[in-house]
Amino acid sequence: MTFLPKMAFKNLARYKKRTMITAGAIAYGLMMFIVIRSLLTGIDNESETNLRLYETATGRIMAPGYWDDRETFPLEKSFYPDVVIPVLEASGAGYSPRISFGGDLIFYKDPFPEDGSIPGRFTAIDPERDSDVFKLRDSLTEGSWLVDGEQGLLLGHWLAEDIGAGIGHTVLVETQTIDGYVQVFDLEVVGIINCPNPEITRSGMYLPLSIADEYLEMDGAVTEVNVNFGTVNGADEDFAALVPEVEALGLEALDWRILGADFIAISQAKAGGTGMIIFLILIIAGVGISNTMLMAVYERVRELGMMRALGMRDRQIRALFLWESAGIGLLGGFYGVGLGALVTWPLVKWGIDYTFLLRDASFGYRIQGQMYGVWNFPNMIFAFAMGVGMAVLVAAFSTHRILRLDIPASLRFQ
Amino acid sequence: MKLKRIITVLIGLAILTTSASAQSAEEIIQKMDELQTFDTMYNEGTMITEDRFGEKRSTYKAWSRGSQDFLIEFTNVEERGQKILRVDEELYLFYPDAEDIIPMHGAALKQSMFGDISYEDITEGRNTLDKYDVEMINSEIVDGEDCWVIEMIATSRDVPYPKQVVKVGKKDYVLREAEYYARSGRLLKIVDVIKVETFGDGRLMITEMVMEDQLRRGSSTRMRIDKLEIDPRLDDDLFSLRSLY
Repeated sequence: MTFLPKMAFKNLARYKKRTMITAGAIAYGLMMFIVIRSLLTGIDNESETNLRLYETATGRIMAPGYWDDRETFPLEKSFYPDVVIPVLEASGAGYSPRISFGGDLIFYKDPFPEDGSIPGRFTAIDPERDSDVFKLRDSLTEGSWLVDGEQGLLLGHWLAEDIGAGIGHTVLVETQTIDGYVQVFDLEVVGIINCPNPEITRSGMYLPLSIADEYLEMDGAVTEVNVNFGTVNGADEDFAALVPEVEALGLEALDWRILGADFIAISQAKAGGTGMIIFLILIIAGVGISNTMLMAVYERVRELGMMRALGMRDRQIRALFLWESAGIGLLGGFYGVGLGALVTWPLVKWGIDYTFLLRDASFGYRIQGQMYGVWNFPNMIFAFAMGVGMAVLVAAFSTHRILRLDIPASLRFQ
Repeated sequence: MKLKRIITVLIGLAILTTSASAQSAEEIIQKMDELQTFDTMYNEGTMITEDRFGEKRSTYKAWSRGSQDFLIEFTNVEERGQKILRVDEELYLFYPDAEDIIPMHGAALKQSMFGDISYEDITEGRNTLDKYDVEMINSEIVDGEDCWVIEMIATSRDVPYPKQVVKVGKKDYVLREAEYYARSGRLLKIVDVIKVETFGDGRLMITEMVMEDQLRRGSSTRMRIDKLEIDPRLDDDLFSLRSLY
């Protein structure tokens, strides 16, 4: 019963170099797979959290049609938050009304380094309520938080750096009122935000809701009310339960997955990318394993012929080679998982600083600075099983080919 | 009793003066619109924008019908074939490379068409009195021309500027200067008419003007008409989406 496994083990020990090379190929492929999956899962998890904490909350309530036309900032598609607040309070959700509008930020030399203007999206927030939903206030690194009724402006850290803005600098905002008239007003930079969500750090511009209400002539209307049920399990279900009540009020409620569609698309593309990585690893490892296994099998054709001539059955020979390949797979799997864990450990603990990559380009991910990996043990088990399974599969094919030769041909094989 | 009569007369005079001024301001604006409106018109021109990045020059051909419809086709190398069509109170852009027509709405109209001129700047048409309440403010000498100064307050949501102050020549009813204001009252743009020429049947036409952005320092756009034909025969098809391709 244990004859074949013992013989397979002896064979593996006999051909040490071949065994190590083949196991090394498997180990390398598995290590790459584990590390890349760890990083991508880490990015995904953190992006999702940052998306909800800084941009989308659990969901958002808007006037019908606003979301479809959001690129043009249709202020006329606004609503009075009082309509929906009783429903939100009854549900126990945190809520924060906001006005989003497009416009130009205009600044002048002295105190700015030079004259300029940049188009962008402005977000008017309720300074008192916003922290019930978003973590923006925790990201204030310079200056002070907005004060209701004061013409203050918070800028993202990278944006402030790009235009040379500092606390106390005055800017102009050129936009349109709800009636479409050109509007211009002054704001003073009161704070700089540096938050883990690069979209905010790169282009965030925030002002008090009351100021936007006055200058855009909104008369108390807002473009959105953001709703927060937290990021814990069940938040999505709580929001989903709220949707029918909101729709009964003639409003539209969308959850964070729709609001963060760009990120979700990236995430899905990443899932496709991971599949491609697995496929490539399979090819790399598969070619390496099949090549070494074929060599191992072919250099032993005469030995096989002798074994068959002495009465060993094909089934036993096939089993012997499968045991050998399983041994190589196990060895490669252990090495691969060990190496993967070794490389993942610093990624989990310290991460990789890739600020230089995200500073000037957006990849849709909502992380900034450090890219951290996560421990993904089911993935490691999967990788291990994949390594063993693949080695056995390749060996089965090559052994089958050799066994098609008859015994005299095997004995004469050069 | 005598004092009361004097006060009554003064109040009556004030009311009369105000209504006469308002009336005359409307007449002036109407006359100004009429002078600048043609059944059909074709012109070729140059637009030069200057800002802190330097100078940019574009040339164009333009056809117009009445006070609303027009078609502009850029002819300079960089923008050759790009077209802007306004018909049925809608604005369309055509980019030859994309072979696609883009309708412009809402905030998109705020984008710069050329330099300091936004798309909404060219969509106002010339039926000014339908969109603004006008009031005579005073008189002023502009570049040696005695002008009426008329304040126009928007009554329509179809116009971008809630307030304009126009200075119209008393002698010829031609616009000499215009100021555009934001809702907050901040001055946004000043249009300065540089050259006025007489054409065909003796009608006057502005052939060169400069628009200066008052928010972006050193930014100005000069528009110059190099060739003008008044009342040419134009195909009806010219002001249609088909003509863009």
